[in-house]
Amino acid sequence: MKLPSCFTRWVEGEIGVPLRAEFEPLEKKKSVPKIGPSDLDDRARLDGFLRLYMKCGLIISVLLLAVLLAGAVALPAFAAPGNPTNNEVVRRYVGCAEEETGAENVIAGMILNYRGFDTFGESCVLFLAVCCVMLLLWATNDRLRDEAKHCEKTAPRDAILQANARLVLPCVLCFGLCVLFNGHISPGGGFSGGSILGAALILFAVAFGSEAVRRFFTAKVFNAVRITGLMLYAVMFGVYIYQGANGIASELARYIVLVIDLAVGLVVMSTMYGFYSFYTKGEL
Amino acid sequence: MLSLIIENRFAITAAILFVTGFVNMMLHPNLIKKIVSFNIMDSAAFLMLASRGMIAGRIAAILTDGGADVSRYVNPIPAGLVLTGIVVSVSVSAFSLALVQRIYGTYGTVDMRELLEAMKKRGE
Repeated sequence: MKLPSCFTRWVEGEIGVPLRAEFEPLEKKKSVPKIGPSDLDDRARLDGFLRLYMKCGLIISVLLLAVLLAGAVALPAFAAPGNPTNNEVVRRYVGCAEEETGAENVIAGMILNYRGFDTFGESCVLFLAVCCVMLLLWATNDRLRDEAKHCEKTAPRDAILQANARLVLPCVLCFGLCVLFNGHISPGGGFSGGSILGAALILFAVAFGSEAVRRFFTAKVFNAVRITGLMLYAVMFGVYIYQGANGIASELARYIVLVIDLAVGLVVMSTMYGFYSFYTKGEL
Repeated sequence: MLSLIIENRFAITAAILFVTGFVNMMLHPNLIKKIVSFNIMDSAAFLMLASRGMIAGRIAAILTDGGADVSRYVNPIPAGLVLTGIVVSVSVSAFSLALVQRIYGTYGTVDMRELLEAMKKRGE
């Protein structure tokens, strides 16, 4: 997929590029850069600015350290049960989480039910981050892509890595799925399980080449997976809120937590693999 | 004074880490190292938050056979906030690394000073 060239140039910082209309590329000035008196002036001004910046930065940092240390010393005692942070919110969350959200892992119940909008925002942040990385690195970066393709063709696959990957990959996959689907009753959940699954995908790509990954995880599947994850989250949480949130029976709420965990896991997994793929190859 | 420092050791470590990251982010000319320092600042914030949730002698907030007795578990809220923070930190790091990659592709440098000069030359 090739983005319009005007857009590429706009991303690269060119000013005054019309984003819709095609136009003739401007001729580049081919004058030899000569160092005149104005250049020396500029350099001196830049030096002066950087010196001033250095001094101001140091002063601000020392001030910041003093303020932070004074604040740190004045904090209430570490790990004391009577701290002001351990207030009625904690009592409510720990006391009612199992009954209201069906999750024995209070943190999973908290982030997926009580603070579900927050976690939805997080998933959107991941989604947008991978969109931005795509925008910046996909296909516009021909040099990187050609290099990656060249490397893939010429470099032999590492036999030790492949043998190890065959041994380790099933375990990693099982562990990732286990963490993902037991998030509500044990440590884990969508974010950690999704990261482990993403790591398994990355290991597969490193060991067997991205061609092997592309057999089942193409750009289309990648987009489908992350959009499905986000939509699933939105729909499930919307249904949950519409139903009155607290009025749902514990058993049903447990399934909702499970499905939302799965949605978050899908988003995180595709994001992790997307980051790896775009940084190393410039495409999926 | 010493007992005060020992009592607040996590907060003081977090403050020192934060300022370390802040100084590097302000003053280091290399863009990649600026991003690394940004991550150090993030870690300081996470350390601070996570240490605030600790309560001595209690277990993690996963309900076991003891049931929902509040006095058995640590504070779960900072854990959730740290999770949010980690996700945002990963996203921001990824985005800024992609920007730096493009900057390197365009200008051939990641040094702040050389970049300023190159940008000036380009603008003329």
